Amino acid sequence: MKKFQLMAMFFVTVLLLSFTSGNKASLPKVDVKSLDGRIVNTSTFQNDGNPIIISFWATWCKPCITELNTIAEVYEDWQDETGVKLIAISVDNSRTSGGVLPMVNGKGWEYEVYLDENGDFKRAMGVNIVPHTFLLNGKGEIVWQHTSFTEGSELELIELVKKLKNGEEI
Amino acid sequence: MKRILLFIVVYLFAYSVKSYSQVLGGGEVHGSFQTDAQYYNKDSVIGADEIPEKIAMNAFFEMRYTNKKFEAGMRYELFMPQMQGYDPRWKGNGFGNRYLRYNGDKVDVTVGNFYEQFGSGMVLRSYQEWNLGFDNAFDGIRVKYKMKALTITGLVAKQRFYWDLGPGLVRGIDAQLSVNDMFTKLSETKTRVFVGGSFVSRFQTDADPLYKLPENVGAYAGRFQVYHGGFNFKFEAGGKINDPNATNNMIYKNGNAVIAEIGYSTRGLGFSLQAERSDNMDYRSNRASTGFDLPVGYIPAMTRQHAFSLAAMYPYASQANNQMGLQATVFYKIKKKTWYGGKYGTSVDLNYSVSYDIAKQAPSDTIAIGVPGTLGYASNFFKVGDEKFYHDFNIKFTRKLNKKWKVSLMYMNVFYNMLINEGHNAPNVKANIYIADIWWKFKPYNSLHLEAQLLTTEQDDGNWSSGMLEYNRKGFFVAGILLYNHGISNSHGTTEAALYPSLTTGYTHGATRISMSYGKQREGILCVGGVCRAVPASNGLSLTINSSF
Repeated sequence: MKKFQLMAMFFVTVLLLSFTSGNKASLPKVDVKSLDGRIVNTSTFQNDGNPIIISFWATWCKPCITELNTIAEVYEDWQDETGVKLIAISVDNSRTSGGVLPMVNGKGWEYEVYLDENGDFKRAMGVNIVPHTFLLNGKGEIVWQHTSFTEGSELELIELVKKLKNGEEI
Repeated sequence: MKRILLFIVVYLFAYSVKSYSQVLGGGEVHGSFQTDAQYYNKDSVIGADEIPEKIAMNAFFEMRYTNKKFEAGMRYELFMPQMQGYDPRWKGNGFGNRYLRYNGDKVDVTVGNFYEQFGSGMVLRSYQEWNLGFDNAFDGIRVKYKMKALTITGLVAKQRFYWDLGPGLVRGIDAQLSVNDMFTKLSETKTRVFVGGSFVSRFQTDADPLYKLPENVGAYAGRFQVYHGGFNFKFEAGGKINDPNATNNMIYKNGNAVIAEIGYSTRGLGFSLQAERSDNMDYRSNRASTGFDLPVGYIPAMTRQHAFSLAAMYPYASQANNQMGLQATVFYKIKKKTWYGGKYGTSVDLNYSVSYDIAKQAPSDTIAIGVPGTLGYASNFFKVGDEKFYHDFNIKFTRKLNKKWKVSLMYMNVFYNMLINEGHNAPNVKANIYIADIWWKFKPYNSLHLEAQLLTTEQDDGNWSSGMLEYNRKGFFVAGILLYNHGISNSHGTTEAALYPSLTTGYTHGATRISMSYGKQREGILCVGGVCRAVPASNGLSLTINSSF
């Protein structure tokens, strides 16, 4: 047990050190599955230097679907104005993941959608409740994150995307 | 004293290397924590008891450090004591999860705790659901080797069992092959084909005084997936050698399972049909375990997971040893700017699922069905049994009326076998559920949400109704919920009418969320304030803090 405490202490120290190094977090390297069965590593997510929105959702999560529906209505405008791309990560497990593809197409969502069936990406990103939304700048650094969706959250999100596009810090 | 000294030394060391942190550090930290605390009032009606400690708390704090290809992580967990609805064996605190990992381009090695799923999880799946108090993490070693078209995963580990490890040793190997990536010619074709296979073996010593039990129990599965344009087809079949255990009443029959799915979708329309048959496939790392303890394989319930509280009142519990089921799902968007679709179009979600037992015959003329120590039964693969376990028909219409109003209407009809799903003898439940969900966005950041639900049934606790009014303004929300059980009196007993009022409020800032609620609450998925989470039955004051960084 003592050994374990020592290990824990050392680990915490290393953590503190990395806090002081002032690096911005980038995406962890995790394999997720595309809706046509391909295994895709999250470190390959990119958008030609434009911002990326990553949204964790599930077919059983009403606010998540509201969020994706709300953004879907204005997504074309968002893309034209800012070049932003939304990547939707479904955390549905193998019980409900069969419903993801029909739902995405049935609702007419134009997003890039991936399955994270066993929650590997979810855990690596510290996501505990959905919806959980991340914003990445053009360099792929995570600059902002937010849980929950309520009416108007999309307006805040696009304001931040515009700031990023203009090269402002957020 | 020694410990303090050590602490100082470590910190001195830390400060001395601080200036080199770009060299030593330069890595990244991700993490999150959650605290749930609950002060309990006594309430016998909803099964929320007073506890001697008065306050119960569940919490965790986890951190991951990554530096290029190296990764390390830990999770501290605390149940002091565990909240109601969580297994009492969780009581305690400590580091429940820790691991080291080298995540290279070709080789990926993890030692310590990890989560893994082979295929759909039929013969191997470890996962965690903090809010449900479930964690069967592996503790051991996992190696993945990734080639262009082929990924091979091998592991040797034991499984987490609350604050201990289960007795069984699990060894597994899985291969996933992308056929298109094998041949350059096929890499850009429209049809994509994947094949995969797994083999898992569990070792547990046989100390049974009565039976000679297999110490090594093997399970295997093969899968096949094809995607072509809007079509997809998935098939997975698996089996398990004889494994007399506590869930199958110690029979020696081999197990098998099949899951198949076919889907078609195009913009505005999505359809999928799934079929499942599972026969004696309950596979655990301890043959004496039942319930939620130590599952190695995962046979999913092929039913919709509902988010409205009354729709989720009678959920199907998957029967890995005995079930045959079908599920059909349709998502359709009725064209906008038509008289029937409205200005913004109307979404129609349709879902039907049904589950029966498998047909069983006596294994021989002299032995009855299910006798311990025998083959148990024989079963015709294609024959559906006589006993119905579950059905759920549900349809939902959602229409945005204008910029301010949105309405959802849902109807659901459910059949719920009491003995199978809850393990006690009571009349099977047949219920109708009606739901109206109305949103009024009266200013850009301000909205009101009204949810009205009614469940009618002649069985179990009788009729229920529920109303919720929620106000959202930017990150702030407040919601009042009134849940009412109308009560019932019949030959099986009397349930008194009961009211469950509760008030919930909270605030979200970035990835930090604080919420508080007071009142009585039933267990289930609660979607309020812009998020959904599973909650236990409670009566009193509860506080939740959740944050990610």
